[in-house]
Amino acid sequence: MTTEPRILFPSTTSMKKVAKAYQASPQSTLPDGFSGTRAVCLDFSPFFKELCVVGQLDGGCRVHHINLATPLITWPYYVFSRCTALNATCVVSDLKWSPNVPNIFFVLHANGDLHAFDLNRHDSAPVYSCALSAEVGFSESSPPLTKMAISRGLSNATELVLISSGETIFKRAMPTVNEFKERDLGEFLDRLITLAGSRSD
Amino acid sequence: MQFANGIDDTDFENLIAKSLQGKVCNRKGGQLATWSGAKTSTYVKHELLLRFLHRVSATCMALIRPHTEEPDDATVEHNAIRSQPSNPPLHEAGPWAKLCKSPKPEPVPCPERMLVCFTSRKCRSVTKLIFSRTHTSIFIALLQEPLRPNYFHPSKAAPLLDDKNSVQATIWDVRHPDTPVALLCEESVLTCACFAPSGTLCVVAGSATGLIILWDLSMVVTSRPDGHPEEPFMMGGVISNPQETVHKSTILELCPMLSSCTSPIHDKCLTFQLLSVDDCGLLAIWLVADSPLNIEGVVAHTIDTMNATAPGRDPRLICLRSLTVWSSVPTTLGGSFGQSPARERTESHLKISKDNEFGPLPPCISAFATLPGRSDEYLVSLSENSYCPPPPPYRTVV
Repeated sequence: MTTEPRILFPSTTSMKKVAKAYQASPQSTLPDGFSGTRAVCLDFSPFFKELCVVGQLDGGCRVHHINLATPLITWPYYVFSRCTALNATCVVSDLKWSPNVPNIFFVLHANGDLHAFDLNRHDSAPVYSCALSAEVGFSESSPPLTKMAISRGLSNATELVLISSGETIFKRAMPTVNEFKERDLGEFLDRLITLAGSRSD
Repeated sequence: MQFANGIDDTDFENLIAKSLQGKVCNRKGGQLATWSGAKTSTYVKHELLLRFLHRVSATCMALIRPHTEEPDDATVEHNAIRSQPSNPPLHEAGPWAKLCKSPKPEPVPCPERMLVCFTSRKCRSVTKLIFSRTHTSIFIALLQEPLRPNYFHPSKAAPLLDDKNSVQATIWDVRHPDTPVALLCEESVLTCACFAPSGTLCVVAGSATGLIILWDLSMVVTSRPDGHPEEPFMMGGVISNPQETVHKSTILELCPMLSSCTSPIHDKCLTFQLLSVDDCGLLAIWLVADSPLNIEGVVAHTIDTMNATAPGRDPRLICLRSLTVWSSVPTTLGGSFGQSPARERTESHLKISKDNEFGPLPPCISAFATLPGRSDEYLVSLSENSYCPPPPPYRTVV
């Protein structure tokens, strides 16, 4: 049994600690603009088994490749605050990859804000955002516990998103591509390789 | 006023000024637009007017846009981002629908028709929502607080429940939201769950007291072909031997080990492995085995309610091995984690924590998952404590 970890996904603080332990300069270890923080939830892509998206305590999220020590893409919390009224202390309560489309994942914050990312179209901000508090009408001052689940849906053209808000569960059918295109998968893979290459540089 | 294309358009300026109850005149140093207030006149440089027009253009567009965009309660920036047509399929998603049907009968009138609304005084939040991968319309909702027998009175399910046997989770079919398919009974609160990776409809859940419980739901599906029962099944589960409980604190996550069930023969059987982790950092690998294996030394306990398993099946939970997360944390990152003794965390302790008498105990692990490509490896994120900064998620092999 191997018990040594094979790779690290460091946060900023722990990277400084590692750097100190190895008597290296923290400044030289930390990549520019890297703003990792404690992971509170994660989900692996059903299409790319090496890819996972991690939700952060501060409301941000990031996408990791498990063979790379630093995230491929990081979205700080203020990226989400541009889309909805998210404040800085709103934790990511759940996140899920789309089961039908490889480049789409959903992020749910504790206040009920739902964001969808499409990495093929736009990797700097969500392409779709909605505030559940406004759409279904619960108080933002005391948001209930929110959780999310996504199914492939009852047909190939839709996927089913469930969001629980306290004791109530809401469902929404999300139209997706009618048929899966190999070209889309190829584009997404190329983009990931490019991102990974830019990181390693 | 001169436009970007070089054309002067005084008429346009006058039109704007007229709409602002003013006029345009020429003065030294540039062209000024003026308008009159009730008592005084104000002069505005045309650069400011241009800036103003640029700023209000988004607002004008929002006003011109049909009212379906809800411009009244949202900021212009919010509207601009929400209306980005960059992902038409998602943008065209329909409204949220409430899966809102309460089980029957309903002794306490609910203020709203909700999915889980058994009494109106206590909030029983859903703590986990998990879809079955093989049965895409079936999902499980774990409840923060159990449902008591008095809710079900005078249902025939009521006698099956007592103080030690409460409904902790509900199984739903999205095609028939009127009634849950099954109510899963257990004494302690369920904190995590997963569906079996094989084609069988089987749920394994972890409890706040460290138990692993298994429910075989295949009988529920096969016996209700229409999928619309009048009253949900109430099911007790198969519990790992309580006398030999591996976990002594809250189970945080249960992950099926997919590589253990890849052969076609496993599609129809119940045998698979899963990994459990508790908030003290103890990992355990479990084998869910069908009765034909008949491994000696396995003791299973079935709650005496309605059918817990499908006919002809006698699934067992066997702990194959256990280890601690701390054994693989590098000393440079582990800090005080490696020296932390296992803290026993009982359900009564959790209740005390909820009342803020001693404050809640922070879990030691904030996120955990097995790697889908190699299920003998896992990814774990350790939580911070007062002595140690937050260590990173790291990947290791069990």
